[in-house]
Amino acid sequence: MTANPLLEVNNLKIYFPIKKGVIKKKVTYVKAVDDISFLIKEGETLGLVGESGCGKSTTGRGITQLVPVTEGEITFQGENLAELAKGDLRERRKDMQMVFQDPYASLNPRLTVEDILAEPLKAHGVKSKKERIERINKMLDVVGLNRNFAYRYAHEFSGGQRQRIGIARALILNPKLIIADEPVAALDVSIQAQVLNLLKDLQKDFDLTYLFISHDLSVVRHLCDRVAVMYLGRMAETGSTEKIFENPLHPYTQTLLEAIPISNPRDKKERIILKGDVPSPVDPPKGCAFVGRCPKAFDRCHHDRPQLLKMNAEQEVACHLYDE
Amino acid sequence: MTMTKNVLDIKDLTINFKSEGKELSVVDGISFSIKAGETLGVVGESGCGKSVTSLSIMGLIPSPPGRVANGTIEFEGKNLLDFKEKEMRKVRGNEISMIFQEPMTSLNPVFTIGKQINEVLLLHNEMNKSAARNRSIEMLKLVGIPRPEQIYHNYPYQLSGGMRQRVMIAIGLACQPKLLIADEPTTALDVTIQAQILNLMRDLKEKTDTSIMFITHDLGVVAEMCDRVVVMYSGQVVEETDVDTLFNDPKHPYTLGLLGSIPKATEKIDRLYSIRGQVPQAGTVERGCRFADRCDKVMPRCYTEDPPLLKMKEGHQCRCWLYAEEEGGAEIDS
Repeated sequence: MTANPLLEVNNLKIYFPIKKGVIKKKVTYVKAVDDISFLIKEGETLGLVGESGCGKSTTGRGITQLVPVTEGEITFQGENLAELAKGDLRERRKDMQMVFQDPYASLNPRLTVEDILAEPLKAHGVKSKKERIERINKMLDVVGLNRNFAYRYAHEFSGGQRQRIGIARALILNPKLIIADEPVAALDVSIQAQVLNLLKDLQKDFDLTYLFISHDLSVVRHLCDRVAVMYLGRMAETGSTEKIFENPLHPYTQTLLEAIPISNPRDKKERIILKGDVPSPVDPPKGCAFVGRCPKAFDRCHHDRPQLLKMNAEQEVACHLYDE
Repeated sequence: MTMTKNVLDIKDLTINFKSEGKELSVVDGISFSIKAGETLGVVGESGCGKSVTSLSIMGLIPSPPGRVANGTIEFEGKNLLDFKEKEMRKVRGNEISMIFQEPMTSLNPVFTIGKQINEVLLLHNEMNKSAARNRSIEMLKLVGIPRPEQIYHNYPYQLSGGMRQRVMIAIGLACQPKLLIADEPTTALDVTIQAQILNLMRDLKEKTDTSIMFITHDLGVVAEMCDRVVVMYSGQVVEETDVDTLFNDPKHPYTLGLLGSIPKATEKIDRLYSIRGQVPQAGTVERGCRFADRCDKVMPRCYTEDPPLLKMKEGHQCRCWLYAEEEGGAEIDS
């Protein structure tokens, strides 16, 4: 396996304007994603974690150009997506597909499973009906669904089965990158384990690269090779899963890990509990985004925005504690 | 028997729901009790009947289509099922109160926070408005809300999810109930906020000595919060034990499967154990063990005979044929 970067995101900014008044004057912006950079190598799984409102889903949508990107470069397989013509972009989308969180809302209730899976094939020029049916049947086998299910409607399935349909829809065009936005968050534990195992198997069988967006750190630890921690639209820390979980450097990563419930009552621990809520992305703090909740904040954090610093071969952190 | 009194005693509770002309048992003959000052965890996946059980304690089962077909729910020695609606209203929110999963939808959007806490206080206590106001602000302070005097005049939309859940807890505890039912109170919250809320509930329990029935699907939360645990599957109790035994010596294959299915933040394994198949719909398995189809240790007997709840040791019961003979388990019911 080569280790070329499949996707490179540089200084990505996604701002949503807030408009007011009759003439819809732009008053201010919600800085949903505020200058983040990362890359995903071919064949790896990058976990994008953070609390709600930190911009992780918006990042995923920005990469597939589902929301307008304000600034920054997204390079996929060596091509800058922003510079592509509309038709070419559509062609590239074949190689990056999304799996969404809510398997109840992301499937059209008026379509049969066959229609749902045929849609991407039609959109990307598979004209022969015979070929489409063949590929649909093969895909149903791959995700572990009975071929007879092709003629049923989405409401007839349980959450886990629906998520399998969602995965089949994403996979049917043989993409290289799958952006999975909280794919197991809505599922029961026993079903969640099935879907996680399926995602792992598919990655091996189809050489997939995943961007796995999740708020569940245990799931991220299980599935991901590298982790990027976001806070309020900015990158707090990136690193190998090993480093992030064994030796977290950013105070936010540390408190986030401490907040995970214990897995056995015998490991009861004393923990630092983070105070307060995530501040509003309309008016983020001037310096470090985390300054208001950070137990280790000092003077400089209030007015100086920290940049990502390379700490070792596998870890980068944006925190003044490590800045000489 | 232990000396501490049971606050709640549920015996053989069966709840049926009518669906397409048929009556299905969504909760099927469950029994458990909660002692004073104890936190009992009720664990299970969606559709196992855990929320319906809690609604039945509050007398909130929508009827029709639901009805309590059998059993008793004794609260401090009195059967709540015999209570008239008027009597039940005195219990609800006063002696037993409940907090729900969705802090976004369980507060009324058109009333201020203060008004909503006052409402419970004025309904259940002989109190004038200014006393209620003082008590409300005191409650807001207790649940860790900053600037309580200002927040008192705010509307729910002005608060974040964690703050709203704190307000729900304040309402729940305003009348110092003997039993607090918490139905997935932290599921909709972020981990850091979840840790805050769990900490708050632990502190308040110590201060007020309220018993808590904690309904959740998250075993991590159970490990943090509970003293004893009831595991439910498809409307039945499949295992009941203290929290330490649940995590370190679980018996039922379903409990084992659940524990194996959870990815752990502390170690990395290649493959998760997964229970095969789907959670069955309540009332669809007519004979035999309800978990038989998904069980790794299934025996012919499991398909034909209902397993009884067997006693493993003092305070530990498990509904599984595996332990019928070799462990010398004695039948508790059949």
